[in-house]
Amino acid sequence: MSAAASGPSGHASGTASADRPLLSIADLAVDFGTVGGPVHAVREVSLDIAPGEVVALVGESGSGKSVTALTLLGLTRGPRTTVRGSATFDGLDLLVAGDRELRDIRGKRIAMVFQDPMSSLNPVLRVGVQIAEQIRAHEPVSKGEALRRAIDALREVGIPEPADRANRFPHEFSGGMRQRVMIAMALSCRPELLLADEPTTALDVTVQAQILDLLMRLRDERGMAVLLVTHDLGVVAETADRVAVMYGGRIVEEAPVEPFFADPRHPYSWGLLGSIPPMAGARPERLPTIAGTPPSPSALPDGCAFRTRCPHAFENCAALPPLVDHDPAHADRCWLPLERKQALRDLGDGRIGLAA
Amino acid sequence: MTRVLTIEHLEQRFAVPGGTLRAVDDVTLHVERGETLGLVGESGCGKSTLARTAMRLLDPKAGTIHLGDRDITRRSQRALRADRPRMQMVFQDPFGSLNPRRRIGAVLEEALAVGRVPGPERAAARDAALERVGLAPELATRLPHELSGGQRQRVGVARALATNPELLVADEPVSALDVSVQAQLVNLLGDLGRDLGLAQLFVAHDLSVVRQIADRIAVMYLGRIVESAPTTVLFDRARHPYTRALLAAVPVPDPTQRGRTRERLQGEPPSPVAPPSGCSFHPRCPRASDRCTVEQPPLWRYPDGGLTACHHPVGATADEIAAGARDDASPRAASTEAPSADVASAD
Ligand SMILES: Nc1ncnc2c1ncn2[C@@H]1O[C@H](COP(=O)(O)OP(=O)(O)OP(=O)(O)O)[C@@H](O)[C@H]1O
Ligand SMILES: Nc1ncnc2c1ncn2[C@@H]1O[C@H](COP(=O)(O)OP(=O)(O)OP(=O)(O)O)[C@@H](O)[C@H]1O
Ligand SMILES: [Mg+2]
Ligand SMILES: [Mg+2]
Repeated sequence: MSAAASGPSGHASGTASADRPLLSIADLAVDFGTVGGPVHAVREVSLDIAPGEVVALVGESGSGKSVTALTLLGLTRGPRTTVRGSATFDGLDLLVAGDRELRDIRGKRIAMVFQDPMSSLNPVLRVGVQIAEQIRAHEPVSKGEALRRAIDALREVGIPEPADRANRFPHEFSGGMRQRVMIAMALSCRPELLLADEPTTALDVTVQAQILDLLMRLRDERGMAVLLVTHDLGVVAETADRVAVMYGGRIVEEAPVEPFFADPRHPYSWGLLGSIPPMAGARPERLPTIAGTPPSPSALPDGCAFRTRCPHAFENCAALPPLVDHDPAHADRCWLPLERKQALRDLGDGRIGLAA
Repeated sequence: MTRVLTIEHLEQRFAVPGGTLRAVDDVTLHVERGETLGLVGESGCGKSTLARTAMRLLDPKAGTIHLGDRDITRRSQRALRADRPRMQMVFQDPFGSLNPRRRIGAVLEEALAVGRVPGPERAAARDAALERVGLAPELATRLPHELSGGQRQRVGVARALATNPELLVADEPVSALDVSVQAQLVNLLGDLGRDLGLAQLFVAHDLSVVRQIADRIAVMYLGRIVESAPTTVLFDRARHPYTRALLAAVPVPDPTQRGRTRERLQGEPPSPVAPPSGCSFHPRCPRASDRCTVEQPPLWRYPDGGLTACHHPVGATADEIAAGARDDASPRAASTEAPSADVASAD
């Protein structure tokens, strides 16, 4: 990382993690009761985010990424939910904070972009009014001023004719426009921490690049921290300082972005990196996948949750491996000796993957 | 080859304060049996509207839609019910397309009933449908809000496939999936095309997924198809400057390359209510000339099978242009004049 220019390319990975964390999650566990039995959605998740840091949370569909983010804002609370652990934000444990305390923080100091835009927009309110109300809930500004800021926010996320569009209802927007409305709303109160759950899935790559530029600019200018939940490893490589990989409710690997791509340590990470469809060269008839089906979240195997699908599993894996730091800031949860991993993950011609 | 879906000169408009929004503007395309047509383009350019209109979930303002050789453009919704099992859609918003109070198992069993799976076989077929998309059969007892985003998306795919359709119109069907589960679904859809002849209109933003699954790719900009080509031609030799901008913006999964894709499409996205004259991409196009501001380019057919609507196509030689012709898929209002050769590549 020698590029010293401004913007995302200039931000050396890991520099921010030396600061005091803005958010510190420790041993988070979330269980849900369902008619089919208890679901252990998140277990033993610990993660720090420093001011100005971008931490990518990646991992298997259903591994607990959204539940982790939602729980931080109290949005999974309910009679059938059990939450354990702590999540300290500026001295306050978000997991036990009262509804009022949380409401003051939510939207103002910590904002969230939800994975499902439609479910978090009010279908019967004009989009501009929704953003303006969000601003007025946290700042003493006039209606007119709030609406003007809402229109600016829409312009900033690339919505054409923002003043006209502010007068329209969510169903009149395309999928990607709704996603950008949510981003505009989340950014409108200048949060210190943005929880962005798949914020660019509905965007074409050129608009996505503009949105990522915007997020990186806010990071550089205001020191906004971002927890970026995404499955797009290209986006991770472009924007993240650090990467945490989840599987079966747990973090199985955590590393600064460059070592994650160059020297991934957990076999699930190898499988993930090996499944990326190539953008050049011959098109394979079938893409490599991870064999087997993901374990049911209500019946996760004992020990390493990945062992039922891991071609390198051995007897130790029946016990849960700890998350161990082998290098500073690069941890993984796997019993395989570090020396063997390099050979096991190598697919030849420089590619990393999970050979069957 | 048999055409499963044929769309000709399709128009879709919405009345909005201040005018008419032309979401789909004279679009012609087709999908053959066993073929996957990838549809990509800028957010808001009309992909979902095109998909929904093709499925007759919206009534077209003009143009025709054929399912096989049957004209369904004006078929009543009641009559269409008999065709629905043959044509299925995966919606971009999986949450909005699932009844929040219905358990996943019931949703799938209903789709299987529509697909005429006999009652006693439905429970087993439901479990198989879940497993096919990588979901544990236990999830059948869950309500939609008790699933993760990617799990809900896969329920949408499983539901659409439950009737064994001939045509699948899939609007971002794998966007919420991690790359390994995504690979599993892409392989599944590829198998269904190859083995069972499933025809697919596949809308997606992830170009690496489209490259993997599509036989041909159509690129949309502001309601129009601006380029369409066999997949390899599009990736090797895109001629439209907008397609080029798209390909250049794909983020690379390699942090040592960070900043490499910093080139950005310039200018504001245009208004679909008052679109720019001539070629609607001209205000943002680095190659635009005076001609582009007045004359709508036709879809010019090139010898390699690519169609490009551009007066100044990237890399097109005079010979290639002369060997080509204005394609019938061109919008009616488009010019009849040939594009100019790219002087930069004259040698
Ligand atoms: N309200 C709920 N009740 C019961 N189970 C739930 C609930 N919400 C989520 N789950 C389950 O918890 C697990 C984690 O879900 P989560 O939404 O965090 O996954 P995710 O990692 O965000 O996946 P995706 O990438 O598909 O969005 C999943 O198995 C899901 O089915
Ligand atoms: N019901 C509606 N009323 C008014 N305008 C609409 C309606 N539905 C869609 N539009 C507009 O039509 C245009 C095309 O929308 P569409 O949803 O088809 O885009 P898209 O290509 O699918 O975008 P995305 O990639 O963001 O999903 C947009 O400008 C959108 O705002
Ligand atoms: Mg999620
Ligand atoms: Mg859409």
